[in-house]
Amino acid sequence: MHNQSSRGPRALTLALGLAAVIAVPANAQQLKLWEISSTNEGVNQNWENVIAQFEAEHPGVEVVMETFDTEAFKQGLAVALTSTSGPDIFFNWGSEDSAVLARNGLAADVTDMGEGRWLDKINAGLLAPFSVEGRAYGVPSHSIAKYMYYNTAFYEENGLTFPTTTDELLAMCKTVREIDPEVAFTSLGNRDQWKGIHYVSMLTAEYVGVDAMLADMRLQNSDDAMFTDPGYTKALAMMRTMEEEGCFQQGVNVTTADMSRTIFASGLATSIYCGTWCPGTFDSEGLEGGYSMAPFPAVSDAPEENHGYILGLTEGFQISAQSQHKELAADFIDLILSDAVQAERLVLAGRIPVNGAGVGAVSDEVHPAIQHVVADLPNYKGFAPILDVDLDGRIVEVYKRGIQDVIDGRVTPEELMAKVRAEALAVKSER
Amino acid sequence: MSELSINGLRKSYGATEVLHGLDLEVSGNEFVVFVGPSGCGKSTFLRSIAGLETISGGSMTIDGADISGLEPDRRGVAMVFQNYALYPHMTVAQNMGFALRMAHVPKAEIARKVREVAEILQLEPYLDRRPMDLSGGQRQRVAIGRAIVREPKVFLFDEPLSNLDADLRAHMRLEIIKLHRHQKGISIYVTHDQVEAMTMADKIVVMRDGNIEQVGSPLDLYNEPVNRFVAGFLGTPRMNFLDATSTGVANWRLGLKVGGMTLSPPIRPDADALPEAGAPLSLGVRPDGWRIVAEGDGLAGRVVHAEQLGRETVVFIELEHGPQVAMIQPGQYRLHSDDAIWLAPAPDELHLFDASDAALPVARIPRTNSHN
Amino acid sequence: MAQPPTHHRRDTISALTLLAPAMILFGAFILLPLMQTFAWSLYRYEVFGGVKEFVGLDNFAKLAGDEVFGIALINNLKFAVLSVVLQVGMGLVLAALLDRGVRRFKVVYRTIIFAPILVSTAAVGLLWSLILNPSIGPVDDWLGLIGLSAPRNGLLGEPAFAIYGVIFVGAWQYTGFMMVILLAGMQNVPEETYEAARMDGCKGLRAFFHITLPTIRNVIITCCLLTVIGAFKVFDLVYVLTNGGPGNATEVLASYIFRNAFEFGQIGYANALSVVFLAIAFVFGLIQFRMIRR
Ligand SMILES: Nc1ncnc2c1ncn2[C@@H]1O[C@H](COP(=O)(O)OP(=O)(O)OP(=O)(O)O)[C@@H](O)[C@H]1O
Ligand SMILES: [Mg+2]
Repeated sequence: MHNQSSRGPRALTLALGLAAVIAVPANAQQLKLWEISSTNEGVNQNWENVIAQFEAEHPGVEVVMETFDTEAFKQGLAVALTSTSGPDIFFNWGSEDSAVLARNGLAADVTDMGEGRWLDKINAGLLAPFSVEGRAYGVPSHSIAKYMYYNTAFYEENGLTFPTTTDELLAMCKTVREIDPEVAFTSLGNRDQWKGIHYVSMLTAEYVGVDAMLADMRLQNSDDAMFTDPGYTKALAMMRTMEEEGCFQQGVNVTTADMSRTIFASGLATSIYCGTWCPGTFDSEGLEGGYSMAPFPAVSDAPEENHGYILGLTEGFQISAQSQHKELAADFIDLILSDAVQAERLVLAGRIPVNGAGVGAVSDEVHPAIQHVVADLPNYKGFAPILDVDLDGRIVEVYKRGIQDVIDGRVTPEELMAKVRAEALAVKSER
Repeated sequence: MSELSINGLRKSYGATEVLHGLDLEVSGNEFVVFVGPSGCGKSTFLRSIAGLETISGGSMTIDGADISGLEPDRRGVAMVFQNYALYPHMTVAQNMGFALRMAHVPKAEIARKVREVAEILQLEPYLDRRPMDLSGGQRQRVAIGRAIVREPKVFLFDEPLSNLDADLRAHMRLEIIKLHRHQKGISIYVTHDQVEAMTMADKIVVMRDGNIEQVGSPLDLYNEPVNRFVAGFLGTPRMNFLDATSTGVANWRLGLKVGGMTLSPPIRPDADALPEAGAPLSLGVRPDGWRIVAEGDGLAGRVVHAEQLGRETVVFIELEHGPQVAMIQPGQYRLHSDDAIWLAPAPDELHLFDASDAALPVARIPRTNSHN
Repeated sequence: MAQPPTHHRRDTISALTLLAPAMILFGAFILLPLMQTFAWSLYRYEVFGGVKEFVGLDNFAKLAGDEVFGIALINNLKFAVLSVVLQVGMGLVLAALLDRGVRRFKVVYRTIIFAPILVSTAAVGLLWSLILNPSIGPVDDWLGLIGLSAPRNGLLGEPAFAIYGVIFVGAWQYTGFMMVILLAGMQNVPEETYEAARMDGCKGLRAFFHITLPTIRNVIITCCLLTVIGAFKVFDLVYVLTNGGPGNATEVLASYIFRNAFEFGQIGYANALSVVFLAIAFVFGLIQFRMIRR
């Protein structure tokens, strides 16, 4: 790491420390919670309920919740965690954002706190995004994931079943064009580059494997091994193949994500790879439930053991390494993961639960597609990492722009991976 | 020797006719000055000759050739505009040579002519300056130079000096006249300024409401205005007009009653329709046509104000039975406000106009006051 | 005897008092940030890692070998040159037509041509990215009418054409604005000047070249400068049309600076880029001052 440290954060730390000395908490146990602020009534209502329930179950404990907007949160968190006035529990993304705190000793190791708590409620694999070197430093509370949505009527009318492997997918691309040359198998809106890198993330997870991929993404591999797995180029090659086989609509790289949803909703493409937040758009664009969901087709030539992951991300909570009330904090997180609270968060705040056990009771209050996701998510081994979330911004930049070039055939997968590797080495050397 | 001939020239803007069939013959090297009140059509007339306006009727010829269908640059006319209309981005030399450049005259030739004209106008030191760096008078000279370079048969000037101060105006007046003599062409010059008209013109054209009222030499127009309009238009201060009543004609004399005074000017023998007794007339007397007379002899009045100019005295007098009049007397008169004064018109300075403002044929021979 | 100097001093003091707020604002919001930009360009300064170390001209050395910076710079130059040709050129033609060519419905034409500037760049970008989209836009049909075909990925999807597509949309948005400025300049040319020119045998197109253009020269230069500065500052239009893609094909300086500073957190490098950017702007400003005549 670097040995030069800027003066700003240190001075701030000092100031915060002084503030903490002056405002010494009273005897009552106080649990401080940091969360991203929300204007959503349901989100806030849910927090009030959860806190009230926790305080009722733990007499003498006061939960203080402080909220910040995203930027302020990101900037202030690390600093606050080095002081004694930081939060006990804080929100974080199941990504490099949380891992970096773990590596720097700012987040508490919660691996052993899960026994008798959340480990009874969720699959241990779900802790992976909050884990560093096999130890968990946070607990997921809800998730985001990407599915293939397809036009139910199109497949039924033509007696087709949605592909489950990439071989079937490539065949389907041809079939769809034979039925109507104007219609594409799937719609990809890669103008802003993140849709493409999501595809590549999923394909890479299949070819390379989640753990190996994460090690590369976190720049933990040795210099000569980093991003050298042939799976990376295979994933990119698959994108090019799909483009060549006419799987996508024309002009992938000038179509925005919005446009791609419109293209799907209007029937110009039979499917779309889209997040759990997408169904609302399809409905409002006139498809009104006329779609089904499927997992991303398994990559036919990828190792068997890499199948069964879904591209997604969990968000959750970490406990400060400085916290004086780690057990209490773990209890609080456990409450968030309880069946009832998870169900309530789904209904009031639209958070897709990591523990779906209580969802059945509230099913009529939830969008059918979301219900599908809730029921489906536990079937996966875990989340495939999203390259543009976990990777350093500069590497992402090279990667995602290069994907546009690869799709159009201007750059070969090998050439792009060489550039990505070079950038990764550069970034690593500067760390 | 050039000849400009205009017959029945008409110009309308839409349904409004602003020139009602004008006729004008100019020949030789005449300097013709157009005067008339604002809006009477002087500029329109000039611009019609220039070709900047398409005419609605009539014909225009220069040296016998019809020019009415020709482009402005083919007519052999050049125009000097009131605001100079110089090209701000060109030097003086480029301004003056522009027309020749447009006509693809060889560069050397242009340079030679420009130098020649600059010499005449004493513009040589400024040839490389831009108009912005010149004084008003210098700019006007450039504008004139630009016209001269083209060697036109007819020069048109539209109030060229009105943006200059009085001194410079007087100076430029002379220069333009000298130039005109030197250039030998026809000049048509529009002005508001009577001094310009009187001093510069070989021929003055007085216009009113799109018609030509009278054409003639400055003195002809001064001495024999055909109507009250022309009479009032030339001369400063203006001619004084007093209401008069005819008492009939006898012995080639026309009897008149003006205030308490009677007059009987002689009528020219060629006069035909003469006013009957009792007809209302208008008596015109130029300021220098008054005589101071003995108390009780003419029209009674009081001095309003006397301007002592040394060589002459300008006196404004409120008549007892009539309007305020102006009088100019040579020499110095020590008059004060409210002094009583008695006036009568000199017999040879007397103009008469009938009810339709047409001049009556008064024979102007020296006479004594008709005081009997 | 002592009076005048006192007077003088009091004048100076009151002048300073009056100027002070402007000077302070200038100092605080222009001078200081400018100096800081220069200073930081000499540092390796990364917000996320908390690194701040003096590296001299390293950032500039890195910049010289930065492929994306090169692409961005060339794109900005293309943008500047072509925008001047299109915006000022077309603006001139349109203004000339409205000034002396068209007789009726001038206001209607002027309003229509001016209108695009009133639309936000985001909306213009959306509109044109829809029009130019090969899957859903009509541009293929339009080109078909004149016997051409759009590139497979659309005008904005081919690196060879994309920047020209963006430049075209920029021109579409700004030509009317240039036209209005130029038209205002043309309408300041007195009618008498044109009449004098007619008397000198110069009218129509010749008058446009010999009279109109040279007379409004300063307005044209100002328009060119506005366009060039706009071309170097361009950011939003690229962002909404291509987001710098495909690949890096439509990358421009402003977005590259922005990304380095706020997405990659490389403040020092972003400042070095800004210094280059400022230098270019300064050169263009200087050229303009040189060219403008009183
Ligand atoms: N373009 C035009 N359209 C309509 N009427 C016009 C136009 N130009 C001039 N006129 C009218 O024609 C008449 C003559 O105008 P002109 O400019 O010839 O007057 P002028 O004698 O030169 O006046 P001034 O001494 O004020 O310059 C005026 O009544 C004027 O209103
Ligand atoms: Mg006039």
